[in-house]
Amino acid sequence: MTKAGVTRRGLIKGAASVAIVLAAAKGGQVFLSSSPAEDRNQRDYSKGLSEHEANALRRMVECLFPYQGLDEGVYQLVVDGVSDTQGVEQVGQLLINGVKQLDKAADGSIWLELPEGRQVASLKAIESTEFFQLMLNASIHTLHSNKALWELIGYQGSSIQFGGYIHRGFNDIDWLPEQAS
Amino acid sequence: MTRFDLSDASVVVVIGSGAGGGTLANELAQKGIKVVCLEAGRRLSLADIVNDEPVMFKRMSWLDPRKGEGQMHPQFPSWTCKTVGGTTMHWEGQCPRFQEHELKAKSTYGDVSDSSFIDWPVGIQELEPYYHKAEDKMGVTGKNGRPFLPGNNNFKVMEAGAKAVGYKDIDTQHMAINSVVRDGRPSCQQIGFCNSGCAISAKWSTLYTEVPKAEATGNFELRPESMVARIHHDDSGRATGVDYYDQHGVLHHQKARAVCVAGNAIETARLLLNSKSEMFPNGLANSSDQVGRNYMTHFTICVISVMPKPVNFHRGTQMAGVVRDEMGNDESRGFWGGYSINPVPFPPEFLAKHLEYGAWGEELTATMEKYDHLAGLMMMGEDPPQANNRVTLDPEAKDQHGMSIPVVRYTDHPNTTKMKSHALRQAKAIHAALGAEKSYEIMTLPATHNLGTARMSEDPTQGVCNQWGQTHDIKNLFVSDGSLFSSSGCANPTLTIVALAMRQAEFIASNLKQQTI
Repeated sequence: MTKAGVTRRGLIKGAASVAIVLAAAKGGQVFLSSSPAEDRNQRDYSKGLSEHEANALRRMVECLFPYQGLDEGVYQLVVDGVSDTQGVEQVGQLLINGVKQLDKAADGSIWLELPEGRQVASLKAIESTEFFQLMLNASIHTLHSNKALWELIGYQGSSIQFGGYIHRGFNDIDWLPEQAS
Repeated sequence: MTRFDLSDASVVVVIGSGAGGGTLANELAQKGIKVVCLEAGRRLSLADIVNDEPVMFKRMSWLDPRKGEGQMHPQFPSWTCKTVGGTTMHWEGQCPRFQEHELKAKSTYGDVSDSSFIDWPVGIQELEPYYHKAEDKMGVTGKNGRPFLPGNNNFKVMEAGAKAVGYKDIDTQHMAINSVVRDGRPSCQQIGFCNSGCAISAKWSTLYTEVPKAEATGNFELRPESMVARIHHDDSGRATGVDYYDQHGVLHHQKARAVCVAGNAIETARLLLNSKSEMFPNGLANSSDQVGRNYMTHFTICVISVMPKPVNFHRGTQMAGVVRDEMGNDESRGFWGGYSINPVPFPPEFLAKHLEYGAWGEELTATMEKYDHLAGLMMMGEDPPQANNRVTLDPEAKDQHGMSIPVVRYTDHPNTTKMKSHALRQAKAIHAALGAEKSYEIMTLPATHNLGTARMSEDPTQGVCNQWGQTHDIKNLFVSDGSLFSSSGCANPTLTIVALAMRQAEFIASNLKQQTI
């Protein structure tokens, strides 16, 4: 049978950030988090982050979601996008102070140079802070709407342009006990 | 394109273009009655429907301010739609009928404390012919010779696990999703984004069924981006017309022969309350004080499990499946009323947020890395009406048009708490029977079923409408959506809304002809 000849408009990129109804950064149990992170062509430290701060934040995202085999560039996207978060006052300052706080707690070292176990422990200690929740929500959103991550974990994304799953394994499971029809 | 004058008092105004409003409007238009349908949302085309949950969420959802209290999310109590087609754009397509005893909820369940149960003023015998008509209209699978949809991987996991724990009544559910080409629309291609809109129109939605069919009669005019602010009445208490804001915020007044409110249960109650007047100081048609009260939803809770081998639960129709064994009334389980078990998938971002609130790090990431091994179940159960589960108007906050915003207050009845525990246990057992390595519970989701806020009743002091959805107080004012439900049963409401709208259309048409309304 003929497929419906539907032209699919591409994903709308760069949609202006819609006024946020759901205050994602406040860490409430919202259903969907903040506006889609726009694809960014360049890293931009001009938002007020130094290279050290950006590195620390990227490492923080890696600790939040330590995906095996996920390119560092995907974690960087979270850092690139988080300083654009709407609805959070003085986002840039919040991030800078957050890194400062982590470094301060590193007892003479800097947080980036701690072994992983201690990095994670430091993060656990600041879980209830606005800084941590901002980074967590940004990570949840940006990492998990990223196509490289999807490929890593086996989520196949948009399917209409491939004709759905009707010929692409929608019912191909082969390990269940035999069912009487 | 048919256009009616604002001053044309012979038109029936239908507020809302979803399952209730869209169906009613089309049925009336088919019978030669002139209808103006005022829809708050925009009219999308099929090309506007994309396989992208966040994009479609913003494009279709009702995001005007609302407040939630009790167990409701404070800013987002319910996920309904603001678009032509209403929540039929977002729904998953499940079409079970109510069971006979669910319509006789008070007689069956008895005097349940802390509930405001009544029986419906119609029984299953009266509804049956309209269920049949609605099923044919919507192309419901497994009825009247239409084949069931095939089961996807997630369904097969549910089926195998359910059989292993002893369940018997399992199939891919009666769905308003084409299993064959019919009604000028394609069959399901197992695209897997049903609740973000069906991009090929295989899933029934009034946007591309009732609305264009109504337009083809020449008796119907749809005005999208028209937000009704008030329903007017005359000194005799008859509805005379409505005020509405267009997309530029300009206020218009449309005269009407009769007014039918189908804004879904939150907005319908809100509009009736906002239409209060000297004659109706407690809200329009609210002499009973029941407008907004008896708000019901169905609990919707999920179990997501990591299975030993791949499932790929994102592939295919999202919720084509049901285990019916727990839907009956069996008080030996420790609660009255029943619940259904259904397959359900979720995309990665949703799981990262909701599998375990606040979680992060190695353990959650390890689960997410096994995305293609995940299986999911959603359980949905009967919700008793409670007088203080209700929609009211916020005393201060107003929306962009200066209208008081709705506040939805809801807390679980103790029976619901018991039913949820049972459902979780059973769902986990289904997955465990197949070797699930780990199971998560998702207990908090916004309400998608919204019912009861202008309910039907025999006794005019106990509800807002009679068995025809005609308000007790105003003969030419009707309610045409899920607000009518006198009980919630454990059936997804859309099929019943459509059946009631078809029946109501006959009543309105014959009464208009005889000039008795």
